[in-house]
Amino acid sequence: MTKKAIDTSQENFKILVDTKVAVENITRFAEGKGYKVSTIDNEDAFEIEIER
Amino acid sequence: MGSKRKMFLYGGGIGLIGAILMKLGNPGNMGICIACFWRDIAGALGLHRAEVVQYIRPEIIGIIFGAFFISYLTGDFKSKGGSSPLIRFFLGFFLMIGALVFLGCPLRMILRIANGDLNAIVGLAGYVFGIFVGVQFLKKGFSLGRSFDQPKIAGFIFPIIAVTLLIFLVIKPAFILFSTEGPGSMAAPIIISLILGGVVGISLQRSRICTAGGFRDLILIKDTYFLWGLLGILIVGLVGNLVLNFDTFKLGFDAQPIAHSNSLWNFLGMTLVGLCSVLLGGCPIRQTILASQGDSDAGITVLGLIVGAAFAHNFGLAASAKGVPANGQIAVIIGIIFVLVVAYSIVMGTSNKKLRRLLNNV
Repeated sequence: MTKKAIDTSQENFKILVDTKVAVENITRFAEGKGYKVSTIDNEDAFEIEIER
Repeated sequence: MGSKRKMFLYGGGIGLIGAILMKLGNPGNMGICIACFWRDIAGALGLHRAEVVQYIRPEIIGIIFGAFFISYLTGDFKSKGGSSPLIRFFLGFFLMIGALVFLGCPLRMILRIANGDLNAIVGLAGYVFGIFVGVQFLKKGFSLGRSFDQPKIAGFIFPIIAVTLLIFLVIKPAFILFSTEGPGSMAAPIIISLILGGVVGISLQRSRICTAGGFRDLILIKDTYFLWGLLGILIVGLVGNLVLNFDTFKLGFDAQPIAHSNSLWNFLGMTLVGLCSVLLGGCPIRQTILASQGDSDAGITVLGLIVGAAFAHNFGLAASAKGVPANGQIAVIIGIIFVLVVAYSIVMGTSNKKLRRLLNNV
């Protein structure tokens, strides 16, 4: 959740989260802001890449 | 808009089921109430001896089954846990105290509004205020830490509990207590409660609706996605009540079913609930759903709710139509202080860690 507050300023970056719910929340938020979002499902975490 | 409309429909289904279950015999404005229903289950198991609120609510069993099966089919089921279990337990514990001082979980709060109970609007204000305060901690980096994969069997414990409760409900052994009067004796038929509970469990699991999440996202990121679900519960619940329960619909503050009109404690009780919910990452109903899909942390939280309910009645903390006992008022204050101290120390801890990392890099 808290990561959402951070991602207003930077350009391309990655976020690591541990639950699918967080992935959905962040994806919905970032896509709503017009970013391109792609997610990689690692064994124990999800890696979300956000591009302008 | 499409996804928001879907959210509205999911919520609407839950609001409608709330109205139907009330029509079929559940207590006033209590078609579904997660806090009350876990409290009734705690009573049925003899964890508290408030004789008017003891019943194994089949809706809870249905919700767990529904969420478990649908999450299993869709691959959302994952055995996870290990994120600050003891803190979660006590957040759940105090959440329940706040809910029983207000007399309802956030879902019942919406259903109460949907049947004209204006006290619940005061509660809503308190709830949103509590979430607002909690969001300030989130912004400062509050986190209960990450969860880890757990043995698969850990995820099955919660559904197994539901099966056990169902067996108790059907064969009614002597050690299980059932109210013969009061709200605990008022119930819709078991089969219907089970099935509708299942529908609620499925729609909540699929939609991820969370009463705390709706307001949190509105405050934190100005997003109304989940809020549409809550609006669905409210509006369809309201229409459902006007059609099905018109004789009990009453707009006002006074003499509402299983409610009191002490505004200060309605507000503060729900402030505590909002604060706990947002720090836990979900309201009681969301915790129940997560627990059903393998989340041990949510499972611990629900155990905290149950123990909180037991204490609330054993220590005379819970409110009733007569009002809020002094013990309950003290408990809410203690709860708010406890939660603020925990949240503050976690935030300070993370910012200290960040500082140290920064200094190490220099």
